[in-house]
Amino acid sequence: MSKLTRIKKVLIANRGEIALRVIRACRDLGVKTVAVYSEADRKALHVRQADEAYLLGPAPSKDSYLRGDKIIEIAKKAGADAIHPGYGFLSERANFAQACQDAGLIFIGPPPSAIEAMGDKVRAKQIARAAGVPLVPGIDQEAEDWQSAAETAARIGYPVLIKASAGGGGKGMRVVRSAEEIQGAFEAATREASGAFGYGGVYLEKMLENVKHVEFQLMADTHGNVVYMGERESSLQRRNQKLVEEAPSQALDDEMRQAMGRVAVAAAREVGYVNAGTIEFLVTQDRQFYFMEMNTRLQVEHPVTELTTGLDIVAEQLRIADGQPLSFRQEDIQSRGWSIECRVTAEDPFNNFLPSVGTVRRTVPPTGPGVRLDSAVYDGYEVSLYYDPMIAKLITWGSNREEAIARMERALEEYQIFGIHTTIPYHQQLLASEPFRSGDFYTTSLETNPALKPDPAARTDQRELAAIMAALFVEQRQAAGAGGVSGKNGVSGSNAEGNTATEKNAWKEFGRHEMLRRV
Amino acid sequence: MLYYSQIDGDSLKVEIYTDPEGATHVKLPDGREMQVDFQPALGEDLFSVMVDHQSHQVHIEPGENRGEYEVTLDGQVYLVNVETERQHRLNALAPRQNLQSGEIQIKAPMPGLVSIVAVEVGQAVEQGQRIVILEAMKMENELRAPRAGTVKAVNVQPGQTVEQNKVLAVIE
Repeated sequence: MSKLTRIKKVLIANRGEIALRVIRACRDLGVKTVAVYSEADRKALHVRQADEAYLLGPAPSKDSYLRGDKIIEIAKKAGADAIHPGYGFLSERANFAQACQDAGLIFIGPPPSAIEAMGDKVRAKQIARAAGVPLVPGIDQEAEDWQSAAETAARIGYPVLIKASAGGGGKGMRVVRSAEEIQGAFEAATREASGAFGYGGVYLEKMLENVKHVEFQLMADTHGNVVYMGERESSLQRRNQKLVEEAPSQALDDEMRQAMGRVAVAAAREVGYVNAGTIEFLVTQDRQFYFMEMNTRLQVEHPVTELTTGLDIVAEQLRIADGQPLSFRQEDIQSRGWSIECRVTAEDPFNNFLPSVGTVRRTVPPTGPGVRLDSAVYDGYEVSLYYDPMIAKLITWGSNREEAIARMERALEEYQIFGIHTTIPYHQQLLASEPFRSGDFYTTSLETNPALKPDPAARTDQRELAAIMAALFVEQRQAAGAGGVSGKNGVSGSNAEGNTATEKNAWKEFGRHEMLRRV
Repeated sequence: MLYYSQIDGDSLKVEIYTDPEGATHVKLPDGREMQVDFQPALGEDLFSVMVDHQSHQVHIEPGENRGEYEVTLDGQVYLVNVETERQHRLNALAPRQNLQSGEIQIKAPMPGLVSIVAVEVGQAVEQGQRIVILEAMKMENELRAPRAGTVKAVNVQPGQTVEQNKVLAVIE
């Protein structure tokens, strides 16, 4: 595969695992890397792994990773040819992509016009419609009064959703299950919308129940080639945050996959899309699919597609940005086996997902057949409250779904993170649950299906074992402390009072090691 | 040696002794005995432990208070209080605080911004009732009453930024 010609050095305008992911793709292609970091991230792995690193500013994102002006300035100073925005932060800001271009830098992503068009809900739907992508019925007309709302509802069929045009956060939204409810619901929604947004306009949408979130990975180059790389199933979400993703999706068959892939490609062409992007669909139980939105960036869950297709999406992004044609054609893309991703976050699933801020004391990462870990955590890593709580993506591959699940269960068990709470135990529960195994889960299931809720009682109670181990720990410290010598097992003498003694003995140990090595 | 390990108020007497061959054993009050092998695996906090040849990996670190240890086993964190026999006797003489009827402090589990204070001083609260909402990491975190009682103090106001472990409210 050809190396890059225009891009010799890339600035990565992000942090965490995705910054590392981009650095790795750059390394594979022989491209130099420039990291940027906030004051909180001085010791972060992306800083340590990059060829160069520059401080952006204080920890809050608005003073660091969202400072597009400063990032562009650094890119110029460091002599970078291109900027990769990762996901989140500046990745879907059309004005940042434009500013990069204006500064003579290559933005590794779509053209600003495509970001802007797809970022606007109404325009995105118009584009989708023009490209022949099915939309949820009844979607883009405001209802004048309750009578016209009732007419639309009768046409598209109950249940329907009344939504505020200016809306967001569920305000001005009503579920209507029958014609008798529509007048009251319409009036309440209008009232609520004017109160919340100063504009009472509402529209109607067919309410789809028990739907799956299925998204298609797209790749487009600057030579007019657009391909789809298959789908990802991302229905398991909590507060709009995905927890588990997989590829392929159990909800599709080949015929449906091709139909969805074709319309996704058409939508990308319609908007003049370039680089990696994703079209999200809702899929109903009767196998209808509807356009939801387009994400104009690299997605968190891209690894499951990489594992099933064997292709490197990030490296391909760099080649596309370099001006090269896609290195594969549609017919070259073969999905093989099954892949699953678990997003591990620093939250306590058994305590209402309370963020777990603190220091990661130790990690024991999983390895072995079919396991990939994309993480920026290291021993001593501080989980700060300034950034997203996701600390790792654990991805497995198997020749079929069953094997991918078995490997994920094995990897989750191997993966030990000490010092903070993580969602690993919850992922173990989810993977073992009947709904997950059978595929009987939908976008709302994590909130509504009791079988998929974190259940502290389902965990093995190992209190007795923990009590014994703590006693053994104290016994060992006492023995070491009393004897005043380090045991041959590497037990450092210390007592429960503090760790000054520990540090001293660590130096003693180190000295002994040095002596031994000299021998 | 004898140790008293406590988790969530439950106490377990753990006797640890070495047999003539040098193997370590644990004896529990119900008569069960097991052979153990407790070996540091990495640093001073990660251990490989064999209990009757069942292999476990455990992380143990001293907690915030004296005699308190954080034991992480299969992804679960247990807070264990360990007393030596001597400490146990001394503590037995000291008056005990009854958790069921004493004061409970609602502390900030992490630094954050207080967005809602849902109770007032003097108010009766049910177990599980919302006390404070704390914003951190882009998320709202609901802090609830661990048991029923009366709000004795409220130390914060909405909009206030708090450090970790700040006592937000007291219930008695």
